[in-house]
Amino acid sequence: MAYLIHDIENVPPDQFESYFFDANSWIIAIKLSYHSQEHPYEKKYADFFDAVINAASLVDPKLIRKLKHKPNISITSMLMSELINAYMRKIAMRMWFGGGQVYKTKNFKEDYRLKEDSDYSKQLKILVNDIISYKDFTTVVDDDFKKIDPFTFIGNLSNTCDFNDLYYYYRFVELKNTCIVTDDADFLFQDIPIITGNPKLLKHSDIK
Amino acid sequence: MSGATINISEVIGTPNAISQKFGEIVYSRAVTFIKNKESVVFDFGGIKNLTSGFCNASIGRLFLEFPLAGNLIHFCHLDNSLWKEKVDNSIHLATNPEESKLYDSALASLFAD
Repeated sequence: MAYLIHDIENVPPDQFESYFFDANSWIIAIKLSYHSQEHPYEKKYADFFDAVINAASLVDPKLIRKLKHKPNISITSMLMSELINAYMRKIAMRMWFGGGQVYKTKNFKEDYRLKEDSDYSKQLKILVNDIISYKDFTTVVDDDFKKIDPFTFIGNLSNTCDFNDLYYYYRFVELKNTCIVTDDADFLFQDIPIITGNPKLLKHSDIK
Repeated sequence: MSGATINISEVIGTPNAISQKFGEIVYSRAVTFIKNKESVVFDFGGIKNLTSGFCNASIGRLFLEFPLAGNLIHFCHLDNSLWKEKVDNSIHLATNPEESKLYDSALASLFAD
């Protein structure tokens, strides 16, 4: 048993066959404006995602031969749900209400999603089109919820581990070839490769 | 007025304009013309996929660094309405630095949750 936690700044994009970016990493990666130098920490995730996409996009056989793996990005239905919900609720709605904390006083459905003059539909279409743009470089992973045995699985929930994190762990630990990319300090699991920039996770790493 | 037409898919060598790096390549190709106040036409012909990240790193960055870019930059084969929205958004963020700052801060707050 070991914590296979890698520093996001030291992993070449071809090191693993497939990467599972969690929802927050996805959103940062595809939406950061790059106009500000104020977010170097978050930019590490955007840069790594970009590096994976660039490696995945290679078409020159000579360059492809130099890669350890021609990587792809794994997605699941739960990830897609989390990604769209998080972006629309925490970013698009927040920006619609001025970019500060006002959005927290509003009702997502009544004040934003169903409001005729809001930009909900426009933002959703752009987000969905952005996600679809990566289709050629993704692998869709089945949920296999039945195989995971949910009634045993939920017995392992705790105050430091939510349902989604635990599900992702159970789902991907058996695939062997997929590395999780996350900044979530709660994602502390053994025997599954994790890539992060979060020092709270990195301090547990058994990789020397 | 002299200038250049930049066919994006030819410059990046793929119909997928989906990465920051590809955006930077297009930016580098265009920036010399913009610096010299020459016009640039971005030709989207041959593009299959276009992302917000690509637009921010290429067109948005030019608007961020050159206040007169709007007079010099033109587009052709930008027929997809969603792509047009993405290009417009990247220009909007670049020309509204306070909003851009709020946007990136909102994104960064995702990791703090």
